[in-house]
Amino acid sequence: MTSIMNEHPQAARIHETAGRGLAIHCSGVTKGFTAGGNTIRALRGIDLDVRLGELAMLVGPSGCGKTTLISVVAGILDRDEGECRVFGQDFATMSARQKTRFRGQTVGFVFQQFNLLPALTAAQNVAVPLLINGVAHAAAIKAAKEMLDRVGLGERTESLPKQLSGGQQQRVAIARAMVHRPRLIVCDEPTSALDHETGHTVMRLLKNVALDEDRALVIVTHDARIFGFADRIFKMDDGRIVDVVRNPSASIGASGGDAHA
Amino acid sequence: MNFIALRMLTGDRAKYLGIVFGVMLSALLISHQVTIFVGLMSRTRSVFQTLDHADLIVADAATEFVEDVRPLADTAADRVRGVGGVEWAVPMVRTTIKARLEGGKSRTCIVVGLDDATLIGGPSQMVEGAVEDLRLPDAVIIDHLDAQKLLSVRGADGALRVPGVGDWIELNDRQCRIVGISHNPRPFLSQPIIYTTLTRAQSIAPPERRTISYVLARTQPGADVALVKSAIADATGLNAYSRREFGFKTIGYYIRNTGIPVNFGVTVLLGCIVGIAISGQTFYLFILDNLRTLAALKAMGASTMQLVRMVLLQASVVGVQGFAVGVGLTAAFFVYYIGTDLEFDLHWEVLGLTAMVIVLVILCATAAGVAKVLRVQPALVFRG
Repeated sequence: MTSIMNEHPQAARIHETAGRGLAIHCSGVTKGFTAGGNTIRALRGIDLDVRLGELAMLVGPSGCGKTTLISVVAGILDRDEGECRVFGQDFATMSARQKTRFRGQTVGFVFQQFNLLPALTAAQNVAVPLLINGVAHAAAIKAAKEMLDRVGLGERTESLPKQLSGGQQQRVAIARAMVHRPRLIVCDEPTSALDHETGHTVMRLLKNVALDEDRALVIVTHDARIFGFADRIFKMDDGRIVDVVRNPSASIGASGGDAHA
Repeated sequence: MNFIALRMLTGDRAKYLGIVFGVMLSALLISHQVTIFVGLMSRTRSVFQTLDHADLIVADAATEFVEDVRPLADTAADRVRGVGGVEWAVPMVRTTIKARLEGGKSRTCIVVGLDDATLIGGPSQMVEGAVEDLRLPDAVIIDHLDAQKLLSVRGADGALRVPGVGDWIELNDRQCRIVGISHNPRPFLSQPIIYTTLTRAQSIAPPERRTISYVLARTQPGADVALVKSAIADATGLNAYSRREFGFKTIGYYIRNTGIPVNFGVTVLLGCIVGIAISGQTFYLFILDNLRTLAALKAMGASTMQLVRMVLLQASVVGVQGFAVGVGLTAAFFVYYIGTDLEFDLHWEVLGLTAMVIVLVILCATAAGVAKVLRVQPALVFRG
């Protein structure tokens, strides 16, 4: 067992997280949308557990329900049926205001198109979640600059998004997702707009800086190049999780090696 | 969040300036046109604006407005004087007479004849000379703007020049000497105003059976003005008005019987429509462009009310800026025309009205954007 772990450190990491508490627990979650009189069932009974300290990826073809699932997990969409708890809290029992506050304090977001405010500098963009949570402007900017320093952009705090490369913008987005110390970070296609090398740099950053034993990462992706960074991959199809790949770096091979770089 | 809202607003400079421009245009049109409208309406009663001594104006019962002069019997002032509660009453003539100008031209002037003994009802502000100089033979007083624009005379060197004290002017074939230059509130009509004594005005004007236009009266101290007015009406069959009443009666007549308020109203309405159209459309586009950003903020924990407050702050900022620039341009316009026929006072009431309309313009312009913000789903941010 020890030799396997030494051979595949990712497997050792899964073993480490296995004993920890759950960040996300979903059971029998369904979600449907009505469009043009037709009901589309985006989630058809999802069972998903993500542990603290774990980097989970949701993969699958377009329309399989990945984005709907992270939206439910992040409290952006209400589920129709089933149970879903994030750090023991059930969004279904919260008022809209409580849900918004919980989301603002507990969840960090990294979006596919970065969604940085073009008129704000990098530091100001990173400070946004703190400002939303009522932190004073000066303190928020100070914390934002420290966080930018952690993601390697300490020299670009005053740059506007248009003055940054795609990779740098995504690093700003990651700093923004972490600055208020959320316990769950949800990433939607964080590398799809980036080239291979930049994508791997971003993933290393997420893995090494954003992930710790009291935090969980859920990443929705189509990008097979980054599968090796995951602790577990949940394959989805037609609104269901159809397979769970543990130790993906071992099964993927060479690309997974990047995960430990 | 205010900081984010303001940076979002000013970050898109073209739209920001477009919205401010729309509001500015609206404020400019509204404040400018309403000021001119109020000024013109005010001018309709300007004849009696300088009456400091008389508190009642007695006119024929059928008179509808200041310029609607219906001659009274020469005994009218005596009859009013005999009414209880009246301290004094003096007659006044207001008639139109043609002035002959250089080069064979003529101009119709308003000649105001003042009671010979008291000269009550004369100009309150003199630029040169004194009202008492009207007691000199053939004396008249003309307004300084009329002198500059309408009543030029030929000097000894043969060149046209502005008339001054000592010059002569021909009124209805009678030579009159200018003894003073006054500064009068501008009249509604652009005819020159010439002051003289009542007797002289009657002698210059074409002969009529009745020559008195108004009687100016003052109530005794402590007398009930309403009762005195009623007594005058009973005793003489004439109507007595306070300056304010006669002024508003005149304004009411012009509002009811001319197209002036409609014209100005249409312009004000256009100002509102232009403001709402430009500002509203640009602001809505601004919101649409930022919908994904707003969705991202909502996903990150911003409440709907926080977002609505951001939008309202943005709207307030462009509203205040547009209002300030628009009203500033209006003020600059009227400052430029001080001392001319286009001199109008920019009353605070007009500013208040403009501000209220601009608030409505902004609310209309913002409504669609706020509705969009209320409906924005944070899940939008995950859509490609």
